[in-house]
Amino acid sequence: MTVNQISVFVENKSGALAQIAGELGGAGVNMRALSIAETPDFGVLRFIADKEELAADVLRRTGHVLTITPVLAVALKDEPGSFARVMGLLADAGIDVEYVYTFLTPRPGSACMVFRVADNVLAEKVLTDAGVELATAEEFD
Amino acid sequence: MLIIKGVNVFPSQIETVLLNKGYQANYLITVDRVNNSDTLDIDVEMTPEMFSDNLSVVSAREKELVNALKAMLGIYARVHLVSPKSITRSEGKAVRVIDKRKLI
Repeated sequence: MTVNQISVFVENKSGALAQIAGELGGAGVNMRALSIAETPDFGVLRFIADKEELAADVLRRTGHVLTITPVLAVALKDEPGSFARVMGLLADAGIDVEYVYTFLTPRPGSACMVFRVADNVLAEKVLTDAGVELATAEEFD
Repeated sequence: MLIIKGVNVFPSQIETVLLNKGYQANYLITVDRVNNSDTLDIDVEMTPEMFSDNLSVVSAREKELVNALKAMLGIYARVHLVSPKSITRSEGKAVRVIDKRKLI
């Protein structure tokens, strides 16, 4: 039960990110989850859109380079210790975590996080077996 | 042909390096002189083949490019990854080189 995340190359130049945001906003795309990763030379904007195909289409037409990565959207209980619990479950199963970031949730009482892990299938099994809830792609629409 | 740091540099050499790596990329060479020393900067447009969600993969590819250029040109060039389609395409001959050195 993965969700598709779009990753776009962002040049290390003033206005580059603003331009991408403008293109998406102008097309009516709502970014539901978002994170920026940077190196000294460039950045990567990672986001989950309400309209994935429209977002990818808009960006490709304006000439951007992007990839689509399946990630897990975990709905954590919004209380201390819940993140530690999920990280513990993944660590015990030997699943490497590449990155995580949080986002607004349509679920009251939950803190949602995107997890990019080395093994989506195993991670999903480990988490759902432990009663951890995953959000579906439909919830982002 | 340019002479940079006493070395002959042909823009087509940069094109060869990029194509050998499988990158159909546009590039722009900027030559300048800083503190009496020639500098070589190459803007390379990002391509789908170069990109990845994994930052360390992209950085590694950038580094490989720098090394391949050094091997081909004999001198070290600073590579800057830029947005696709950001290097001006002109009608007719593409502008590949900007030489800012004030040579007599």
